[in-house]
Amino acid sequence: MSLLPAETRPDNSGRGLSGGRGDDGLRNDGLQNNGPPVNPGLPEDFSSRIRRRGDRAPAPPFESWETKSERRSRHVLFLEDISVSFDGFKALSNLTFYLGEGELRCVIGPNGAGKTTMMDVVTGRTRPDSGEAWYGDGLNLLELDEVDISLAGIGRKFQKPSVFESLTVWRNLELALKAPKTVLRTLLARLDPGDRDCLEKTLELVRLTDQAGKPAGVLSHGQKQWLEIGMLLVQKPRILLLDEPVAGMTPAEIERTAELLLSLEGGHSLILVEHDMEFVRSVAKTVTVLHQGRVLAEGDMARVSSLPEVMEAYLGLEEE
Amino acid sequence: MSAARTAGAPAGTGRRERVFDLPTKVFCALLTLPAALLCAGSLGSPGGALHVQSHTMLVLGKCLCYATLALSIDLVWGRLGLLSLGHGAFFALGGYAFGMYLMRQIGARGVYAASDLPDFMIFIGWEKLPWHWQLSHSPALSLLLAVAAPAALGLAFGWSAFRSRVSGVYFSIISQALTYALMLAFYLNALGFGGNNGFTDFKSVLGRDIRSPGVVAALFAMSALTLLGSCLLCRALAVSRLGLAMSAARDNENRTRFIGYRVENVKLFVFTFSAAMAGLAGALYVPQAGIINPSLLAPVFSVEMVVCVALGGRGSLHGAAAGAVLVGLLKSWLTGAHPVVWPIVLGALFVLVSVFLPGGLAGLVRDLAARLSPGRGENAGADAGGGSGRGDGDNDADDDADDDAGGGNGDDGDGSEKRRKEFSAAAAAASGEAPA
Repeated sequence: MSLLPAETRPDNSGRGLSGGRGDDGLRNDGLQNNGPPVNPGLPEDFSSRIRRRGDRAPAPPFESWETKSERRSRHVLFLEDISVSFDGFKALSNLTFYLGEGELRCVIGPNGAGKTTMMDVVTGRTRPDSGEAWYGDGLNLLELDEVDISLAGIGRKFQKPSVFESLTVWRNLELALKAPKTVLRTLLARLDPGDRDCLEKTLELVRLTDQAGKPAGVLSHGQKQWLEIGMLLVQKPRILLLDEPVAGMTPAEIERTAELLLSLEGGHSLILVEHDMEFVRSVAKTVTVLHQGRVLAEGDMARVSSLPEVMEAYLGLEEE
Repeated sequence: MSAARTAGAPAGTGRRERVFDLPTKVFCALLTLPAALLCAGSLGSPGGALHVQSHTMLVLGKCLCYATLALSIDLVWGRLGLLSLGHGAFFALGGYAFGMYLMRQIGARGVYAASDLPDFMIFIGWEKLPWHWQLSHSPALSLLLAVAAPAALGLAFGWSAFRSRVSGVYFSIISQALTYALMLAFYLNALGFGGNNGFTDFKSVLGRDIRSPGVVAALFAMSALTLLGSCLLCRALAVSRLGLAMSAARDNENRTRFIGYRVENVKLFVFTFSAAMAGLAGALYVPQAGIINPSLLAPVFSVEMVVCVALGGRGSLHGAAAGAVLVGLLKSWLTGAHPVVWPIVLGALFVLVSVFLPGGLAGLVRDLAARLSPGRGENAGADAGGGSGRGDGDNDADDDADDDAGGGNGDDGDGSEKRRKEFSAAAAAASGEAPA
């Protein structure tokens, strides 16, 4: 599997890399992407669809092989041509990113690469200037707010552990529990045995059973991180966004977290933003490298980290 | 792991906090028993040893109304983190609504004695009741209005404030502006609320003399029951999952949104409930005080009630009510005995409590109880105490929003040095394992 930047979605053609170099990338399995589109199953108005997209960066040929609905059925989340700028600074520029159902994807990149901004776009916190973001079975993320997106099944763990410190560990979990969250339903909510069981299992999973009655504020940093992961799990989300989940953890805790995340793979889709490369190496099958708001490379860790452009972006080789 | 489970840790902690915890029981006992005794005493024969004068009952009854108001402020301030400096507006609105009924009850016994119209309307030459006085003939409808009007105002005000995500000190300022604007409006004669004189000189309620011992005792009992009921409702709200959501919204509003709660709806619900509660307290206050005028709408009254809450213990609910009763009694005594020193005493109290008793009187009681029986009070104050310690409007999640964006392309500092090493190590390991 080639992991050259040529494989990284639409913005690749603009960078002058020939499509012919990708033999069997992530999304064009078995397809020649340097010939004219010859798929017999294409709808008649296929070429006009391409033209309509023409005002953005031109789509690479293989983009055309799938209809939008086919793409949706294979991906639980996709961002296309997302651009975000803050006061002239382009946090994301024409970012395109696809996440498969049940996939665990690590997103790495130097500071300012746009990792957190990407998560902000997905969770409805930041509205992009342009582009599209779709989730699941046709939910347009750009039309929903944070609450709707959370209820639709995208859970997020923040970079700083943000548990509710005045509430006990148990109540933090109870609050996050998947349930109708309107005011009246919340007012009348009771924990039924099934919920209780779910909370107890989650407590065990994140190893906080003995701390259940303590205010979350007294937990250690690593335990807060785990509690937040637990809060994410009881929401039973379809996609988990984890922003630096192992920051501040001891090596043993990191190992445990890796186990936990790997056990989630398959059942949930995960996006993991992390600076700890050892950790990324231990969990990641596919890594996406962001740099200056765009996808620089995508593929398995070993290959991605050996690419000269990644080394350059990440390590700043120009100094040497 | 199984040992921990059999030890019962999750089962014990999983139980929801009860409405009737120990402090609530103590509070209910301290409220109902003396209140029942006082009612009995005031109805006893005037010469009896246990006789309580009407004047005392009225002062105490007013204090209970203040306590309900303080409770409503504490619900939104202590539990939701919204410091309202305008709750007096809801209290006064409820008072005016029930005051209209009391004015109608005066009938032809007014100074002009010529018409059923309230005196001030005759004075400014009105010949018939304005539209907003149409419900005032009925005590039940007036009482309903006394709850509905403040609730409607709270709903409208809250809706506009929370929808645009106004919080922290900005919310406090606009809530104060609300009550100030209402005060200016109520000073106008043309509004039909008696201008700066307001309503006074009430004669009767439900056809009985408003100062007869029976009516005074009944008003006192209703004030006590209102306080009791409000306190239990607030407690039930606080221990429900919505109460958890309130604490969560107070501590970190954005995070609460990200787990799926519409924070603005939670706030709107609780704020409206609190406004209705304040309105009911105001309705019971007016017949006992015998007067209502726009001074209740002055920001200083609302601020004074906030001081009561701080004194009693922010977030403790009962503490706030107790603080209001104590301050009310102190005020009633001092403004009679040494009127000049009252503002100084109030200010000094506030400063002393904020510096030495951040948890207020409730915190003091809790600490003492914990000291007397070690191991018992450990978890009791976890939530209430947490609220007072944290400032308003600290949204942790906000801070990390721009971490990536704001970082720019900065490749400087030791952070990047560390990252560089980490990455080199990872890259080396990766390429060693699977050569490209």
